[in-house]
Amino acid sequence: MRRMLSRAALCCFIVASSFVGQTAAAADGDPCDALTDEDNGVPTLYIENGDTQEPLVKKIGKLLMQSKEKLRVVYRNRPTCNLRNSLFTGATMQTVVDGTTARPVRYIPGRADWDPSGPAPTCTVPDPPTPGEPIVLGIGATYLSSCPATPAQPPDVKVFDGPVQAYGFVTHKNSSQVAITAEEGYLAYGFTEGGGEAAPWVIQNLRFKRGNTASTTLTMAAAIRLLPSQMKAAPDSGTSEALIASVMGSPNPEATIGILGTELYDQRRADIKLLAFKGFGQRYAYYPDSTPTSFDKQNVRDGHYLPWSPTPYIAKVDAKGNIADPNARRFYELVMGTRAGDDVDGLLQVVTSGLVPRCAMKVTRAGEGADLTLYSDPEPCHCFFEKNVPGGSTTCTPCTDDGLCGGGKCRHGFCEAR
Amino acid sequence: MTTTNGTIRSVLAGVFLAECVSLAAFACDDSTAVKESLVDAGVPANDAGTSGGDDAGLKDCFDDPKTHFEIINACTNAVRIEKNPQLSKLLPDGGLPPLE
Repeated sequence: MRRMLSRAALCCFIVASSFVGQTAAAADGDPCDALTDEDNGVPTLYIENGDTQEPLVKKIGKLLMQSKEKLRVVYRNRPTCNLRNSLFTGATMQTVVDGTTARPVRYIPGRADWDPSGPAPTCTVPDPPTPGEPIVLGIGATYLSSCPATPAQPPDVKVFDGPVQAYGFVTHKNSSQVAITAEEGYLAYGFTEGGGEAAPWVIQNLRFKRGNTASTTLTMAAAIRLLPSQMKAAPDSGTSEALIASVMGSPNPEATIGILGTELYDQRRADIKLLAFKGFGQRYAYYPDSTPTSFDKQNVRDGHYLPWSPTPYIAKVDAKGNIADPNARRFYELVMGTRAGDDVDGLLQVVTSGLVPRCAMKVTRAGEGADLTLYSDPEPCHCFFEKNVPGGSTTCTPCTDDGLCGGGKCRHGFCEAR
Repeated sequence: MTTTNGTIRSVLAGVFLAECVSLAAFACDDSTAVKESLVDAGVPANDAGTSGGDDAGLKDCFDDPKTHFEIINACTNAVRIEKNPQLSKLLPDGGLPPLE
């Protein structure tokens, strides 16, 4: 009798497990506009973004799905110049393969317990020539002027500045290297195999890069005065995650080097190492942060760390020059911290994602790898930024209105100088 | 007492060994070896160099940066790393060689 009961219990468990498994898997691979186990009545925003921007898209996407005014984000990672082309040509969300790299479409699920630090489930879109849903918002990760000039920018599409994104050279965790100079970068990546004699990075197949249209490659190439096509490296890693895997799996840690967005590095500090960078004309090398273990992006903000660029937001605009689609406009305003009365704190997600909002920058530049000039934001958010980065703190005075700020302004909960 | 003496002997032996290793490394050093060192930060701002100066006591950073060169070499409390590799492919004036 006991044996029969045990067997029955086991059967029930197996059946229940397979049912749960099917239910959980059902939504992963559904058509994006007809998701099983999801409320398809929620308005949807289709985004193409650089893969460095995926952590931010997922974080804000989750909050939007939990918001009083629900909005579902469906997104796809693509190189910056490719997504520029999508937005400039009015492309729809169809199946695409860039070279040999498939670009899966993902969506933000409605579950409150979904963890945005993990992968988002995938959904399917039509194969060409069947049109998909319009891609309404593009989020690049470097200057679009670095991309080929064609297709031309339509008059009803505008590019808006977003937060700043830093990049860096990474190496294997067991490498003894601590820093790299711009000259070393030029000689390592600019010559076949070890022709540049920039030891220890003299093995071409252990120098990793992204595709020539990816923001990571565009910005890092500019930092060492190369064009992306001049970088002699292993074949295109396809995605930043693939590049991280290549660096981690290298059989020769010392000779290994790659390029990566620093907000992705921030999530993988236990797995790989970021090299401090010494730009042309600099006396010392610096990390993006004030120390190798902090997250304050101090050196990006004040100009000591050079490989960075803004993240351009691309969208159709109305007659007044504002983003025409209300959902895309909401997303952008949340990122910029300019949207009032929303229950989603987008600026906080920017800061905790390793990006630097423009209001926290003290320098700016006119183009890819261009010289820096001093910058003073008209509505600064230095205190908010410094308080909210991981491990952050501030000596600024907390406030709820200007009265406490002694002539300064209360912004995002802290007194700023103006 | 015996234990204390043993401990002191062990420490001295360790120091001696470390010196030997470091001398050997120095003796085997070649001009292409990368020399990296973390430079201590946080010298008071009224020090002209903030983070130190060169051998002649000249400041090596800028307190009130305005230009690109001054911004990227501004005085800071951040960790900074000295790295000046000998790169044989650079031009005699330190410029970048043309790509092959």
